[in-house]
Amino acid sequence: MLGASHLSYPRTLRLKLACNLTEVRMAAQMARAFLAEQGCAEKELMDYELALVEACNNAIKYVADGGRQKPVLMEVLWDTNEVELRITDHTSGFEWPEKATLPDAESESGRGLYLIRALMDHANYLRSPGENVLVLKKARKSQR
Amino acid sequence: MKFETIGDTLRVYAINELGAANANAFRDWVRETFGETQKHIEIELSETTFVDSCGLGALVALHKTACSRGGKLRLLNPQPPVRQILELTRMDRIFEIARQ
Repeated sequence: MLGASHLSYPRTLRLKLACNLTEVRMAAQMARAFLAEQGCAEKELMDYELALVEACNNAIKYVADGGRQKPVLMEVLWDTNEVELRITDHTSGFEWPEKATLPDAESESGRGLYLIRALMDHANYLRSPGENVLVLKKARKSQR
Repeated sequence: MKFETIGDTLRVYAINELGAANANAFRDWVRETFGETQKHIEIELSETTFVDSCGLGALVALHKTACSRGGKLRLLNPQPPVRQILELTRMDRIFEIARQ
């Protein structure tokens, strides 16, 4: 974990993860603790934590050798109306599916995007040369 | 992680998390531990606080391993965060889930 910072408003947590799957859980737990400090309910915390883990796992699993030295950036933005999660990766990117579907029940992979879709209200994958940003948003429970 | 043998069942317990960082090692360890005369695999999840899609993949792999011997994979006592992901991905319809 290379660093974290809090800004005043919207309250923001920013973490840089080395491109290693063992970094993901600790970062997601730090994000969870940050959101708990802001007053998010347990159910919300579970959803954000799992969505962050799935997004960061993808950012690390699918990076090419050239991008492996670059960190994955995890940003968590909280305000009273919604929580926004941003994950910046250095993969070659992919077409974000308009509708995520579950794979065959016997499949041993392919459920990550479905989970992100199911857990969050909004997802947008912004592709650009060199890096891509997955933006996930979810309205605060009390604001729905 | 620990295991015990109960008749033709291998029971695995003391699992803290099943995620991308340990799912493949978990799957391989259970397969190596699964005795030749055993049919069923039970995964005790009461101490498991987190499962992600890679952890689910490991459970599907073990489900197939047990089925190949005419057995079943049973999940015991999943806690709410784990139960949620099983339900969201409809894996609760595939795995036998029991409370003991």
